Amino acid sequence: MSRTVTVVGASVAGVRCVQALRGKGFDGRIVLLDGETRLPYDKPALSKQVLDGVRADSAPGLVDEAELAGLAVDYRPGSAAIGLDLARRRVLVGGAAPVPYTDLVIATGSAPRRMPPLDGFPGVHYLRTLDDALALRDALGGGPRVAVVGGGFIGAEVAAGARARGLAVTIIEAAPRMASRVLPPAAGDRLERLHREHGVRIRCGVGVAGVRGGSRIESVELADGTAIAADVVVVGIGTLPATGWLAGSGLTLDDGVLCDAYLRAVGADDVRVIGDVARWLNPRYGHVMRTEHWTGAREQAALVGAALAGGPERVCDLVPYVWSDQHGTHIQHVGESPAPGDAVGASPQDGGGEVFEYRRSGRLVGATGFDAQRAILGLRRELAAAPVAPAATA
Amino acid sequence: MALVVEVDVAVCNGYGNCAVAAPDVFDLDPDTDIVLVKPGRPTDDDEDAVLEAVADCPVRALKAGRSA
Repeated sequence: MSRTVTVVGASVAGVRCVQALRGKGFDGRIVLLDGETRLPYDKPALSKQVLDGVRADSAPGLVDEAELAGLAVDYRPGSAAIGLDLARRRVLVGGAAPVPYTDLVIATGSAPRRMPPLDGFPGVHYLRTLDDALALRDALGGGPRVAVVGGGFIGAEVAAGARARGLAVTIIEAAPRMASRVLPPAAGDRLERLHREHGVRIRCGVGVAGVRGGSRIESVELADGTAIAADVVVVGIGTLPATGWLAGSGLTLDDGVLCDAYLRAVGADDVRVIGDVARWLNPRYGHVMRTEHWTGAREQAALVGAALAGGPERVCDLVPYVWSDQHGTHIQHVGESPAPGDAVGASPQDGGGEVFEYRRSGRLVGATGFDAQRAILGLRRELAAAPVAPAATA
Repeated sequence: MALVVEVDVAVCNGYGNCAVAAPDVFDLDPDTDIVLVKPGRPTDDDEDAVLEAVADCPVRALKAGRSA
């Protein structure tokens, strides 16, 4: 009997997986379930080109109608999965018949972490979909004062986009430094300097207590009793994997769907998980991890697509890699973030760039570059070339 | 019909995904941090890697095709 691969989620991971399946010769049926209603599009531009008001009116498409037809994929927009029946091998979809599978690929991504004290106020924005980005872009067009809650890469990109429009922008970060989950203090300081030099005000080390306002926002109230005047508030305080539809399915949910090194859901060999929603055992590091990066999502999708097409099973030992563009500076992070005790070395680059390298017992584990793309490429190759302990794949 | 690659250097940000996907074909320029195509490349043997590199570019700075 012919096989059916059902892919849930049509962002970069889901679409790439379909392309890899066909590219590797899979000739069974493919169903692609998309919770959104427009053709699949690419998300990195949402916090970058779409917001600054100059470079793009929309997000680039991941695939067009012609390619979908060429892929012979049963593409179903507006079909959000609401449940999974592992025993009967079918996905439950709102308002439609259950979708059967012989192999399931979960690629539902993640959603912004909410900040309850701010919810329900007009003028409070989260950023995940193109509609979110277009709504925020329109709000920025009105010339508002902007408060960005969260000093991670997404918040920092939004702040840069708003500054490019000449708006007054304040970043509010509860941790002592921006991006402190990823960057060591020296690199975080460099990031803050970049934003200050471009006119962004930064308040770190203080949490948000609430907002003041009625039909429109007047200010963000901080835990220390001060307030930031703002008309638009953008919340970028991280994401949560989109696993709500899998509650009670029998899959192991632990900040993502728990998977083995082959991206197979633990306890369900006919279920693969890719992209932001996968918490998998990365044999390179010997522990489970979850990444939210475009490049890693594509690598996972290609790996799973090839495996399901009958190719050799390969472990997913990817080196995390992420980029961010802020105020015209290209920031890249590769590998691990520094752990306590790691040595952090900073090397200035020609032309004003800088590389921060992280070493553990002398061994390179990760790096961050500011306008240092060639140096980061070299370090990325070095990290990828490091042998993966065979024992860790068992 | 030889395999050819077209590079839009105005769009490239030097993310380096192409140089990871097709290290024999692409590199980053030491002076500009922008993509460059290595001398004598691509050859027909590079096709699979080049197509990967084209697809892996976050800003779609690369195109691959066949010369007439």
